[in-house]
Amino acid sequence: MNIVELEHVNFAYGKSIILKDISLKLQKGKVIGILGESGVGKTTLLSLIVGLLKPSKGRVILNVPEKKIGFSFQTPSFFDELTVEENITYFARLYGLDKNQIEKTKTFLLGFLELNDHAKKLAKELSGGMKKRLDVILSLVNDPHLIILDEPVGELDPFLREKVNELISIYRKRGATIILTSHYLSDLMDICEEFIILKDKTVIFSGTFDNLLSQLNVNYKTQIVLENERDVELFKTIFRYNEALSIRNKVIFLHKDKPLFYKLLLHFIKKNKIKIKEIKVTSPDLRDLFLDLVSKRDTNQKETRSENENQINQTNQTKAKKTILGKKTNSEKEP
Amino acid sequence: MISKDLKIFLRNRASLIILFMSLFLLLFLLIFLFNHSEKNLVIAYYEPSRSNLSTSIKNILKDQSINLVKFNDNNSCIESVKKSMSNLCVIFPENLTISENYNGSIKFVIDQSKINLAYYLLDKINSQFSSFTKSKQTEYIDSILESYNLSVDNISKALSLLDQIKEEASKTKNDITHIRLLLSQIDTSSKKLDASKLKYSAYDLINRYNFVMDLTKQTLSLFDDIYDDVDELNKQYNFTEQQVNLSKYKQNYQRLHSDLLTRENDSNQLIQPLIDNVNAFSHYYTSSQSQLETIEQKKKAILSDLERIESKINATLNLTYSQSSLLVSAKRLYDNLPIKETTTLVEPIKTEILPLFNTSSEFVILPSIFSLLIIFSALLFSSSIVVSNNLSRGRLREILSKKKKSYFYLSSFISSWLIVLLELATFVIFISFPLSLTTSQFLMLLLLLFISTPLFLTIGILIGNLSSSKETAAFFSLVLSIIFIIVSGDLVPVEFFPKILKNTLPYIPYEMFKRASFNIIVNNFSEAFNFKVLLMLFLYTLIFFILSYLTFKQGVFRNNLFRFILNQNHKKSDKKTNTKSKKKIKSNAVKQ
Repeated sequence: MNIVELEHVNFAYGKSIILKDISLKLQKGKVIGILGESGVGKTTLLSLIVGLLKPSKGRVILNVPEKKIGFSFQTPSFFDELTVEENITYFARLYGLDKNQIEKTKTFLLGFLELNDHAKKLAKELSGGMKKRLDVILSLVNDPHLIILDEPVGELDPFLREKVNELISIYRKRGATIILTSHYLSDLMDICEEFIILKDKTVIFSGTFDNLLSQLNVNYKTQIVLENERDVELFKTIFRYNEALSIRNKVIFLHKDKPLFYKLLLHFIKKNKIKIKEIKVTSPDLRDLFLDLVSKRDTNQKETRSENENQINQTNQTKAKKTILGKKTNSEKEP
Repeated sequence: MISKDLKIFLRNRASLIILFMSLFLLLFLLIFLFNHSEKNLVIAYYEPSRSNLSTSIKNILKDQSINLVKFNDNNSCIESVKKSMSNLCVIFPENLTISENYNGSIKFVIDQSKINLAYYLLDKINSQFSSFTKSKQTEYIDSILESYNLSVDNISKALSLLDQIKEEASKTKNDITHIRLLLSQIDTSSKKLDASKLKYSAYDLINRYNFVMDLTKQTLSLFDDIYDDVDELNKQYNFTEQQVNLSKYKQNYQRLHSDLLTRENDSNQLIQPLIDNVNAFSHYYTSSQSQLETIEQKKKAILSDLERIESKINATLNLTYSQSSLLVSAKRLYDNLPIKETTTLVEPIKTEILPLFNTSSEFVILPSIFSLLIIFSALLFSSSIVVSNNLSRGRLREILSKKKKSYFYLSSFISSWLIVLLELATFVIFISFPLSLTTSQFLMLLLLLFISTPLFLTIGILIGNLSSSKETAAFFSLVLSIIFIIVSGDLVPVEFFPKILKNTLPYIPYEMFKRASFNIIVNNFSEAFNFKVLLMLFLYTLIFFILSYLTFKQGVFRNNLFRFILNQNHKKSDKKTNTKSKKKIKSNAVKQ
């Protein structure tokens, strides 16, 4: 069952288009990660999903009660003049929770995210990390069915990041659907089941990691560890301008998966009697896939752009030739 | 919800600072606005009797472009101020004059509720009065000095005349002695002596006597003037010694006067017999037939005439001496006259300020203070609560909760209402004891507060919804408050404004509140309490409630979302830089 459906959603503010033609179907009970460069419109997409913003075109279908949505904003959002406890109580009351429920939620969340000692502090007096944790707590006070977390682990240390990820898993087990964005792609890789990648104001990928892997046809990474320093220098001299590999310390990183290049490399190793200590082969991670996808799209775009430009140049050149010829013929005509 | 708003407000020092800043601004404006030129000022006056001084004062007022309206009695003059037909009532005393002993004063009846206008007028009048009084004082002192100089001059003249009298009188006495000697030397039997010598001497005597009498007559007219002058001086300075001298002087004067009156008969009783006797004596003496006996008789008659003249001269001399010594003492008094300040010698025109209402001035100022308090607290409290809520990111989470917008609007409204009501109710309770407000007054004030505060709060919420920051909201609130205050004539009298504005005054909410509270506190419902005012206030509240709610619903939520989520300002600046860079690229391309 789909908890959120977006049909050809466009969003524009004034004349500037922020998102265009977005169609998505998000399944209930999944943890979905949204990836994209900064300013690509991730927060706008999240705001459209929860109904904070209305699409300029298309529609958003939410199959979850309005009061059962939790949202942790990129910038912590609460009342600075209230204490941590007061903020939790106030927002919990807004969602109609009774005293007992509020107390339970408060104890659990404050304890889990280690804010118990700061419960009486004014929100404005908290550190950045604490504020982020309070914001995550506030997004969970109503025991939501759909949790949207915009950069939930930003400004948190690795230990607390782990805690938040653990909390996400707990809510996932309870049956909640979680949509989140994060700059820590390794974290996303660990907890997300599905991914949405945004590029150029639209969704360029939506699906599982395996889908992404198959779509991109990305190679495994190969690293050759050399034994002697002398050999490193040799490699550096010969392959200095070769983009297919890079050398750091005694490790040679192979970037391109070309059989001909591998043959050439083996021949070079054999011929020079280079001693190899170790050969490592690793599968690609989300970061690589994301970068690859984004760079591929950029290259495609550049290629199309350059093709277009070439076409334009060609037509311009022919036009110019024609005019020169025209002029020449005119000048020839002159006495 | 409400406690949250209360906590937010109390933890926000900025709004409290702005509250004090606005107070200083208000004071600055107050000073600034009082430099305004006056218009349509009307002064009512009542004048029981006309005097030159009162006419001069009226002319001064007319010169100040003040319209004067005459009334035939005190009460109608005062009533005209009560009915706002005039701004001040001036009551002149009977026979207004300027002098040392004048006790009358000009009374100004002022409306304490329009104290600024009253004092503005009084200030204007008083500054004119003081210069007018000074000129009058100088005039008066000049006249005193003139009479002083004249008196001193007269005394000196009189003294020299008296000296002359003394001298001539002595000579007369010598003449008498000489005639007596001549008569004693005459040998009536021999007839050898010439009688013509006696005759001439007698004529000399008579002439001198007449001269002395003429001098005395002259002195008498001077004495008349001196008598008046000394009397006047005595009134001003009130010297006991002078009073004693004056009574002696008066007695002397009267004696001299009566003595002089008898001078007319002197020629018949004294001079003519002497002339006749001397002529007869001369005739008998020269005639051969005359008998010795007859000559002796005439000689005796002459001697007796001389005696009578001598006694007269002696009496005149005595009077002259005593008058002269009195004049000398009078002169000494004039010389030793103490120098007095002009202001103590002649007091300025006395003025009295009388209040229009019998109640104490605190009662009259109270409605204005009360109105100021309500407008400042309501506008500032509500607008600042709304702005701090709207600017807080917590608002975003509130929107997410999908609670009805009216819920949040009402929370801001009720929390502001509670604060302002609490503040004003405390004020009412605090003032009710020292000013002994009755229960009905107290309850009516609370009712008025209950109905009026929502109006000003909704205006404040409207301001808050339209403002992007607390500072702007505070500034808006302040400006609006000042407009209300100015328009209702609290700062600058309404009389300075055009008529259209004066006519709309009763429909301005702030003025309505002020009048209603004035009626409760000062008039104690003496004027029928206008319940229409309460109804109108309620209607205004309804209008502003709807307006502020609409702006809250339409503007604030949308603006907040865009501000927080899309970070529009940032985008706009990006856009600007983009267009700039695009333009640069274009211009470079053109150059290439």
